[in-house]
Amino acid sequence: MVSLFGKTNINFIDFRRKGFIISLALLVVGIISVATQSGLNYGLDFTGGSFVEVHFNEDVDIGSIRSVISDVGLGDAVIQRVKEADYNYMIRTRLTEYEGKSMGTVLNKVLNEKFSDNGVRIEREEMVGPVISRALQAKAIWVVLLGMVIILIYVSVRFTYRFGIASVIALFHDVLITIGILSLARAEFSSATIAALLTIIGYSINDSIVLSDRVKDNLKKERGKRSFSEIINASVNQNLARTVNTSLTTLFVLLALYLLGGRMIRDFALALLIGVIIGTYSSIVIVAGLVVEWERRLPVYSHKAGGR
Amino acid sequence: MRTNLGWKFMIVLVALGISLWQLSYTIRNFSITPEMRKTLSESYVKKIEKKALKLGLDLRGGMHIVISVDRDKLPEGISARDARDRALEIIRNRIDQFGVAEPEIARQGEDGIVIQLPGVVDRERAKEIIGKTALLEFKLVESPDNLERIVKDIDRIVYEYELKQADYDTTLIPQNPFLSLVYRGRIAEYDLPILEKYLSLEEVKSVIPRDVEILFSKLKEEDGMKYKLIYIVKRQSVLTGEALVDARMQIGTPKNPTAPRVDLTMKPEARRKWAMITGANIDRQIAIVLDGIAQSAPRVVERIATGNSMIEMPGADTKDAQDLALILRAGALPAPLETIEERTVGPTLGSDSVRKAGKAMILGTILVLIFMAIYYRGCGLIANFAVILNIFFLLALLSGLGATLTLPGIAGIVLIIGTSVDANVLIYERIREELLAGKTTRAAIGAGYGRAFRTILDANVTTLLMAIVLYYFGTGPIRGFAVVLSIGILCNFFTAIFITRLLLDYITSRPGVKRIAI
Repeated sequence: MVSLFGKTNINFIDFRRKGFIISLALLVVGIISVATQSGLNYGLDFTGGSFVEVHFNEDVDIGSIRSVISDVGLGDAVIQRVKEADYNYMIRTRLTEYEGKSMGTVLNKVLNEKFSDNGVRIEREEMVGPVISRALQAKAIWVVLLGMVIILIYVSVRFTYRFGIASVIALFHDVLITIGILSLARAEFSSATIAALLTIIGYSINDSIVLSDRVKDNLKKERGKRSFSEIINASVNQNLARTVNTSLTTLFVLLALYLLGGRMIRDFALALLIGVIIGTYSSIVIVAGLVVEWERRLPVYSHKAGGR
Repeated sequence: MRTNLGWKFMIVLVALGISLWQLSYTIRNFSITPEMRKTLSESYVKKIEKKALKLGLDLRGGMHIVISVDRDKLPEGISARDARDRALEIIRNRIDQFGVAEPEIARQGEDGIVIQLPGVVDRERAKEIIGKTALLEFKLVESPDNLERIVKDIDRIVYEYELKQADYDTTLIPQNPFLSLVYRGRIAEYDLPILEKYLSLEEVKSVIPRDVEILFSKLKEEDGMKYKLIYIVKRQSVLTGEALVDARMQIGTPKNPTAPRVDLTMKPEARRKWAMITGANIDRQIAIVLDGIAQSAPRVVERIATGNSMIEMPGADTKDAQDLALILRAGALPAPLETIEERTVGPTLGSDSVRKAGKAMILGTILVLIFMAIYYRGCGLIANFAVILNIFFLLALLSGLGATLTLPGIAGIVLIIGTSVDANVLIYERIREELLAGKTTRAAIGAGYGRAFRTILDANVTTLLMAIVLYYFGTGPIRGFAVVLSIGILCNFFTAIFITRLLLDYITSRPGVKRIAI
């Protein structure tokens, strides 16, 4: 029997204060990152506009692309080299069309004229009109709210009061820190990110449920024998193998997807990856820590059990 | 106990069999090379493609366009919904022109139309086809005498052409190669390429009178047979859609009170012309032509002076009549449209994504399998078996339900692997604890599953709830993610709980097995 966590007894509860500070620091870093970049790096879904990825057979420099497209009034376009693909450039504009033609058509024409014999080809084109981008913005807000409401209902049915509150705080913690780190990594915030965040919410609650179940069991068994914080710590330790194994296996596959899955899925995999790590950490440190902290200030368990 | 297990094994075997059968289409589909495609019959390839797992546009490349009715330019008295339905009918009418295998055209919301064109797409041409203003014309079908003469002329030329081309026994060539392709005005789908070749010959073009043209209907289907109708009409239209005010489907014709009909109303200024045309052509057919494609060719029964005409449609159902009415209305007043969303993925990028994400998924899965085998040994192997089965059932269900696998969907499969492992880990950790607490192997298994079940259920329910929310939020790729996640979780209960339990029960029920490697 291989057992990494057979009889662990790591004192997570004593670590809680440091944990809170780490979380707070991560949150602050995230906020600073978002603030200094004047907001999130919203994807086309939310901003509207056009996005064209152009392929060249031989490398060209961004300056010459810019000078060509300036002639058709697109001087303020954002041009970026695609790292993973040889000689692909992403050109993003606020306009959705130019003289009634799509950006891809316009760029294909002008770039082919200037860089003939360079195999200019449109690899990908996206256009999101203002109607759609506004609708997606509204939808994104609604879907996050709806997700939250469903989780709150679920939590209120399934959890004890304090665990419920702590899990919801942990959930906000996970989502906000994930957004912060994504902002630091300059990942795009798109519809797919919203999907990743909702998935993270599901996972975060899932971890808290497993812990809360274990604590309930242990409280029944050990009421009066051990202090509240000891029981919580023992529960976290008993769950450790499960928590770590599950997260590790999920991380294996997500990491493989992030590193090898190609650039189209990278940001999505990154969001999930961060979310799973933070979610695991928060169920151990934040949820358990908050419940213990609360009990210390306003004891409920200890009264019933006749003091510690 | 034994018989009980037997039944459970039967269930698993049946599920495996059905899934294998379902997935065999996908495997065959992906193993068809372009060279093989040429030699295989088209209906065989189509059948396989239909039942195989569908890949999203982000994986196979293609174009996704959303257009909507421009409400600002919408004439008064027409609802956005009606205008949208007209536009939809027009685009469906042009569907052949896209030149892709499986174009999908669907309504979206109140006033939108989604068009999905998989594969290699000429973007400009596609946009032109969608945006072109509809042209509805009424054209006189040639008189029977002229028809016969024209067909004979064409047959004579084509016969000579075939004689010249033939490198085989020339007596096999029919005297009327052109007419022999036509049966009751129909041409079978598989004969269309030959027919088009004949009609494109310069010699053939020269014998067709200049004021005459040959038109086809949309591709129709009857008793599994696909065909087009052929019409030989006067090139000059007698009337255009502008003359129309309205067209509505109604029920009841003089001969049959339950048959559908279409009522046409002409503008007052067109009435006289219509009366003249109908008066001069009693018993002749007038073809209704939208964008060069013949929709119907009703026979004129009497002179119509009021501008209110009735088209009887013998043999047609209400759907056909509704479509015709819609096309007539669409031709009368084309709906103003605007493109509001467009996403195109090049086929190179699409196949690159499939290859990379697929490779990443397989590598990640192998890592997980190795980890589980080392960490939980014998039981780890059972869990691994469950993980593989889970992916297997998931893919089978996806293709069986006709769902689309998108790039985020592949990420969904990756997450499901995690979920599947999680369920087993929860169970095994519980079993280990029960064993440490001194229970017998079989009692520990029973207790482990029992106690872990509630936790697994809860843990999966939250993810499932989020997936359902996502399904309603997402479009295309994200919906694919939500679908994979939901189906995967449901499969997980079957594989990670039911099947692993069955295997463990079977192993421990054998005489001599006292311990399990966990």
